Amino acid sequence: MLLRVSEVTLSHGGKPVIANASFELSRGEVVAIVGRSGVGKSTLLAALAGLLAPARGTIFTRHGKLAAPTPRHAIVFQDGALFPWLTLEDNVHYALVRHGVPRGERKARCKELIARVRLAGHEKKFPHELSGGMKKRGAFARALAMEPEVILLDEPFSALDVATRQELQSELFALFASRGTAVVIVTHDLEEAAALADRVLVLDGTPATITHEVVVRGDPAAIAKLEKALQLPEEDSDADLEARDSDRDLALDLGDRVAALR
Amino acid sequence: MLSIWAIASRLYASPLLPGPDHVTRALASSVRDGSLSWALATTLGRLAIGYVLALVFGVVFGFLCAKVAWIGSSLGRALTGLGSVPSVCWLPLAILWFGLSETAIQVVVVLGALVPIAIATEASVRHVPSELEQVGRTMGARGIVLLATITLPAAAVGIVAGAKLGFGFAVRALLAAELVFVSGGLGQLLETGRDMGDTALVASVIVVLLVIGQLVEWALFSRVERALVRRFGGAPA
Repeated sequence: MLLRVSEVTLSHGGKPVIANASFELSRGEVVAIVGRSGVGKSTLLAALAGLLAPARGTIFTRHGKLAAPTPRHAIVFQDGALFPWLTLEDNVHYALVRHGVPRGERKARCKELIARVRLAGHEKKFPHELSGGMKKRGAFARALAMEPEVILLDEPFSALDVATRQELQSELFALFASRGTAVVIVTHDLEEAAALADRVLVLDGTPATITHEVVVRGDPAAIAKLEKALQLPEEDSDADLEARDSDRDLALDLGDRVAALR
Repeated sequence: MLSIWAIASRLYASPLLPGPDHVTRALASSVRDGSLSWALATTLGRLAIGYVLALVFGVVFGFLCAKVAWIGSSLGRALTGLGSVPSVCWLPLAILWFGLSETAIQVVVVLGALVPIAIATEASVRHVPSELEQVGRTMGARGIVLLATITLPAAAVGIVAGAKLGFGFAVRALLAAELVFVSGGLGQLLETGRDMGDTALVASVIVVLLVIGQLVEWALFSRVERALVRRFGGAPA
């Protein structure tokens, strides 16, 4: 067990946002958190990063109670949050310095990490000179430089075209699996959650609670279960149904590819 | 522009509007007798000390207003009000506090430039995307390391804009103080020109001030801004 969230309540300005959340995360496991916009998914992720202290309850790691941000829990935000005043290489270098990598090893490690996310040749570019997909690859390289046990992803694949998103997902999740890195991914996309995760936590209500915990790996009916858990409207137009079928096919295909890579 | 000025002075043909040739002669004369170099050195020395102090205190104060809630809600709010007070208004108070001294002039310069620098720093630090600091914290950056390696670089564009604005305020405050409190410097040279009805001398000092402004812009601010544009992206200033 890498992470145990025990009866955690999270508040913003004294108002509870998440109530009594409990779940566990094991090495190499992928857990997705889904729910409506504003339900508190990112708040829960911030708490798992140690950026937000629970009002009640405790988050335990292998090393004890999580009381502050730790390099063992890396976070990747939607836009990557690369430091705009540093080149891609310097962004990764910053993480290596913070991680205490000896000076003599940094250059080679930096080069290796950038190559791993297939950005070789772009080392000297500033974030504004990179495309959306490249920025995200860069953010993953920087996160991996910390050699985290858990990587926390806050809607990292939104705002990408389908082809780039699928390419990035299959490559990165294979990389995480090869390192045994556990992943918590926040997404509003049920197809993405079903394709990438082993388990999906459904957040709902005010304050939000984990209303369902759905094991989705290898379950062809996973998306239907998630839709039911989120009580999404069932009456769709023909066009909606066609679009959803198409997305579902893509997601299942991606799920198969990720499972094969594992 | 120079041609328009030359033609206008010929057409008007009055000592009240000296042409470029008269101003050049006045400039050469004040260089020869040493009055310009002495005034220039005095003004630039005061400007350098006052501006550097305003920059340091303005950035620190702006940062504290953005990051320390009680400072922001008390002193920070007073900043906007202070910004509307012309800096020369501080001179009588500064003279009462410090007498007819260099300190009194420096107080006016520092107060004049500090406010825009602090306001710009406060706004820039407040608008640093929280994700950047959060990522830094998960990488183990805390306290002064977080401030020096993430918060300040992320706020650099706004701080430099404030520093540039502050420089203009510092020059205006200093010249106003030198005009009122006769103590050497270009402000006093302006006042001497006015007393003697020497419009060419007055215009030559204005030309020198223009050149100083352009030189500082070229040698300092435009270079820093180009470096920031290269790093952060956006259109060159």
